[in-house]
Parts: sequence; C-alpha cells; structure tokens
Amino acid sequence: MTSWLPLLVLLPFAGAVLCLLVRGRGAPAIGVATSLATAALVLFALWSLQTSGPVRVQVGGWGAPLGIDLAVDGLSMIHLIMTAVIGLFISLYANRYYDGYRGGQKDRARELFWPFWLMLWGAMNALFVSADLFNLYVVLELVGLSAVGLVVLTGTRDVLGAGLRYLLTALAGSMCYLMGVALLYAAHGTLDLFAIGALIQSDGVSRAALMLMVTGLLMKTAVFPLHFWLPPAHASATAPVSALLSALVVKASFYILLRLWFDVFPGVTTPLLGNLLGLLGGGAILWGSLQALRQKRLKLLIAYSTVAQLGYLMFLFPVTAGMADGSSLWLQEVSKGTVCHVLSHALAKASIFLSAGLFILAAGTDQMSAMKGLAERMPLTVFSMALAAVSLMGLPPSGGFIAKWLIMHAVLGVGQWWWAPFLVIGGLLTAGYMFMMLRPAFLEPDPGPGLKPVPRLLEVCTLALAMLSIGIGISAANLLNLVMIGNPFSIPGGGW
Amino acid sequence: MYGILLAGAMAFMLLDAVRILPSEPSGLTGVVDSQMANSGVEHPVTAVLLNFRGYDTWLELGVLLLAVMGVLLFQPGTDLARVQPLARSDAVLRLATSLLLPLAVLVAGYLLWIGKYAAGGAFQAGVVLGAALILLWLSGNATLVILPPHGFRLILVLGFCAFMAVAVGLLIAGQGWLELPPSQAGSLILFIEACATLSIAWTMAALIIGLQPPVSGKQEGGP
Repeated sequence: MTSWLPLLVLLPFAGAVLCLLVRGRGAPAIGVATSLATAALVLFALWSLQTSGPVRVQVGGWGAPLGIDLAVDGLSMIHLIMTAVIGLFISLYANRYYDGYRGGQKDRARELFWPFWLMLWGAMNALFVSADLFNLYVVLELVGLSAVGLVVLTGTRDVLGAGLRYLLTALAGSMCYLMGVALLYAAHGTLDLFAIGALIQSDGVSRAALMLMVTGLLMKTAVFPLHFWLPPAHASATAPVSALLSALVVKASFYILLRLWFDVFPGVTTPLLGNLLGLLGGGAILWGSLQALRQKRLKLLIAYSTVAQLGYLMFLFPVTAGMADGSSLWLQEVSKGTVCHVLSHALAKASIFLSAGLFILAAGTDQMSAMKGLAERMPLTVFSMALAAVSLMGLPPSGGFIAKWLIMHAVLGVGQWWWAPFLVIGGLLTAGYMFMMLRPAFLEPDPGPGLKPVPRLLEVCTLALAMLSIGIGISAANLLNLVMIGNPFSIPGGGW
Repeated sequence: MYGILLAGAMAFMLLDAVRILPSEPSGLTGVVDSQMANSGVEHPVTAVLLNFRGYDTWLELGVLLLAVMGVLLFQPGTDLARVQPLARSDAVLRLATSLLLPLAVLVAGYLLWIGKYAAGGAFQAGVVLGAALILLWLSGNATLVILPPHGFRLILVLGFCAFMAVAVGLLIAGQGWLELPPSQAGSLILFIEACATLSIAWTMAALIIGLQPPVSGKQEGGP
C-alpha cells in the first residue's frame, strides 16, 4: 500500500487552500488540524516503510523517463519525520504565539501564516519523495516562494528588505540548478535521478552541470560565503518562521545536494571539489561563529549560529569524493554523522528560536542586555535554551555529540586530519557564543518593568523540541538504522 | 575581481559543455509519440503538460498561487477591495475596450479548446483573458476590485484545486496517483484547463492591479 505517498502532499496543500478561503479565526484551527493529520500520516508512512521496504511510485502510471517517479527510502523518511515532528510543534506554538505578538500587522500574520506554512510543508514533503530532477526544481520554487512569503508576513520595513534579498538569492539559486538540469537532460534524455546516475560519464557536460547545481544549492542552503541572505531573513522574521527556516528550509536544499552527490554524480565528483566544499564548511564554522560572538541581538546570534552549524554538513564531501568502494565504512559513518547533525541541529535550532520568541513575547525586545534575570523569571525557557545549547555545542549525550563524533571519526579514519581542528575549534566557539547568550539570564535582574507572562503551552513546545535534540543522541542507533533502509549512501550506481 | 574570474571560469565550462552535447537531440519525442494514444489529447505539448507530467503542472499552479499571494501581502487585508480604481479614461479607450473585450473572451475560449489539438491551452488562454481584465482596469472600470474577497480568493485557487479534486477523485476511484484513465483523460484535462484558465487570468490581472496603492486613509500600517 502506497496511498500515503500522494496524501503526504495532498493533505497539507488542501489545508493551505482551506486556510486561504476561511476568514478570521478559522484558519488557525484548520492549520492545527492539518498539522496533526499530516504528522499522523508520516507516522503511518514510517510504519509502512519499515514493514515493506523502500517505495517507488510512478505518477500517472507512465514511469520514467516519460513521467515522474517518486521514491522513498530511509533518507527520505528521516527528513519527512524531521519535518513532521518540528512542524507539528511549531504549529502548536504558532497558534498561540501570534495572539500575544506585538508589532507589524498582527491579525494578518496570524491568518496568513497558515496557508504559507502548509504550502511549505506540502512542498517539503514533495521534495523529500521526488526522484525527478525537474520536479525537484518546481518543488524548490514552491519551497522558496512560501518561505519568502513567511518572512515578509508582518510587512515591516526591515522584514521587506530581508525578504527581497532572500527572494533574489533563492531565484538565482534555482536558475543555477535549472541550468544544470537542462544540461543533463540534453545529454541523457531523461530527468530521473537514478537513471541519469547510471548513464553519467565524467565529461565536460556533467562537470558543468555538477558545478551549476552545487552552486545553486549551496546558495539556497546558505553555505559560507553564500550565506549573506540568511542572518537578516532569519533574524527579522517572526519567531515561528525563523524556527521553520533555520531548522527545515535550509535542510531541504541540502537534502537535494546529498541526493545528487550519491545518486547522480558519484562518478563525476573529484577529491578537489570535495576538498573545496570542505573548505567552505570550515570557513562557515569560523566565520559564522565569530560573527555570532559579535551580536547584541538574540535572534541575530542564533541566525549566525545557523551559518556556522551548516558548515559541519560539508565535511561529508571531502571524505566521500572520488571514493571507489561504496561499501566503505567511513562513507557510511560520515553519512550517518551528517544526517544526525541535520536532525539534531534542526531540533535544537527550532527550540532555541522558539525560546527567543518567548523572550520577545515577554520582554518586547530581543536585545540580549534585556535578558538579565531571565533564569529567575522564565526558568523553563532558559532551561530549554540551555538544553538546545548543549546539543549545538556537541556535549554528550546529545544528538549533536553523536553527529560530531561520527564526523570526526570518519575524517580521521580516511586520514584527512586537517578537518579535525575545524571541528574542535567550532565546538569551542559554539560554547563561547552559547555561554555569551545564556550569561545575562543568570545575572541580577534590572529593576524596572517586569516581563509579561507567556502561555505555558508555548514553553512546553519549546522544551519538547530541546529535549528531543538531546534524546536523539540516546536513540541514535535506531534512527541511523532507519536512515539506511534502501541503502541511500551507496557508490556507484545508487539505484535500487 | 574574483567575481569576474569565477564568472569567466563558469562561462568557459558552459561553452565546453555545450560543445560536446550530442547534436542529435536525445529527448523524449519518440516516447511521447508512442504514448499519445493514451493521453486523451492530440497535441504533444498538452499531453506532456497535463498528463505525462501533470504533477509538475499542478505544482506550477501552486507556484503561481504563492506568487500572487506574496504580492497581495502588500495590500492591507490581502485582497483588492481597498485598491483605488483608476479615473475614467477617454472615450476612445473606452470604445476600444468595449470592442476588444468580447473578442478577447472569445479568443481565450478558443485557445482553451484548441489546446487539445494544437498549440494552445490553459496558460495561453489565461494570459489573453488576464490581458482583457487589465485592459478593463486601465480604461477605468473597477473589475477585480469589486469582487468580494471570498470570491476573489476562490477564483485564484480554482485551478490548483481543480487539479487536486481530480487527483483525489481518481484516488477514491481506485486509480493510481494522478493516473487519468485514457477514456476520460480528454474531458478531465479540459475541466482542469478551464479552471486553470480562470485562475491564471485572475492571477495575471491581480499581479498588476495588486501593485496599485490602497485607498489612502484606510491603510493599516505596513509598507
């Protein structure tokens, strides 16, 4: 039974349309109901995948190369689950958040958050199950446009500037990707990911396509030095949106990068390109962390932390580039570490942005100097922040620790010891800016106006995400076995 | 400076790539031709857009919907109810409009219908209809602005929803994901295209009209 596969896309889209048509208070109710239903559906999909293995569906019954094929393996499933879990908590949070939000166009934000977010969710689900390069392009556009819509929701001046910059970058990235798709189609006459992977030769066409597609996707993933659009967009959006963007949206384009790397271009990648990408990752860690240390505003600090943390994802490429033997232990290990980092960063970053949202609701500002005494007044929020910080720093037993351990192990295992200092220094710098963020919370509070109380439900959602980011470290073995269903990290060939 | 070097390197790679591309197109023309009989239409472009790769077209309609919603975000209330209509224009433009408008509607309908047999279809028909709506607006008529917000949004989502309704109906009928049965494919495609034509026309017009400033005095903050 694969009837859940179309529903993964249909359900959120139907919810989005309903939210658009219903005026006033109806939209949040429909939005939350759709989120619950979609999350339940993903759970069913997980059960189905575990019992009957990887799925391949031909849309319209035509089959590649004429039609579009969808494919679900462990890597797709873990991303679907990540989106569902984080999406559900953010939905519950957003439902109450906009009630207490001050500034911008509050009512409009409360109403229009839902259609844009549900379109984004449906588009991300479509992205994680697609096996067609052009279909992925269309879906990337959907993801990009709905994300931009979410950023400019409140319509204030700094939001518009950030949103426009984000839109232009996203479009440029899509165009680069599309040019690569055009080259591959011209050369091979099919758009199916796995079919192209089986046909591809290391020639000028595939090298140009690889460069174009990698560049476009790096732009969308905000990998240093193409990260310039991320901090303003993620810092100026409302807190639930920042959480969605930092936790999920940047991971969507990274997912395509992974697919391309393992399924389309394994014969084309070279150690030179891999090392270049690793270098960008190292640059991201250093630059993002140093910038985070210089920030005075809480949400900008968290946004720069995203820039830094995305760097860790890049070490997969130098380790696996040009690897001839697909069964290599190190390849499996670095891939598992990278996926683990995707997950734990998503959970921790979503939680920490939601914490920032709670602080903004209570204090009406996100200046870190106003956080004095927060530990006393909002202990649950500060506790969530600290838990998420533990995962981001990579302290055991968090998911971040397992991720960085696996990546470090693989990097040393293949003898590329020069990436290790980046990992170590990155951890220290993360600890630096996280302690800088938490320090004022434990100081004596300033006398003055107190904090507005925040709904308990919001604090619970935030705490749940933080605890999950620690928890996946404890159950990492099960999760990483799930990722290996269908053997997504195999070289060469890749198809199944 | 580095930018220019990088752009130069990229251009060189592209030129090199295009040079070694096969001169004989290895596309899917043959495969498309062999399946035309099952597509429900007689024009290959329509068959690819609405049937073979209908899933992509459905998602593209979603892209259009998001684009127009994004633009309407800059209108208070996100509909056109508060847009200031243009002043009535001169008699010549009004006369020209009254002559062209019925013709445009007729052409749009024809383009929609001919899509089954030749170049045409929802996108072309929608653009012609959308141009007619914009012409109506430019000649001083209120057009989309007088629609109630509800009806306006309903038309915007119509094409996207028609596709979705067909997909759900087929799933309930026991067909695969977007699997149009060859015997009914023709009429289903016409239904989808008719709905999409309206949505595309309204989207095009709303993209232009939505950029007009709202009536002053009623502005609720924002840009």
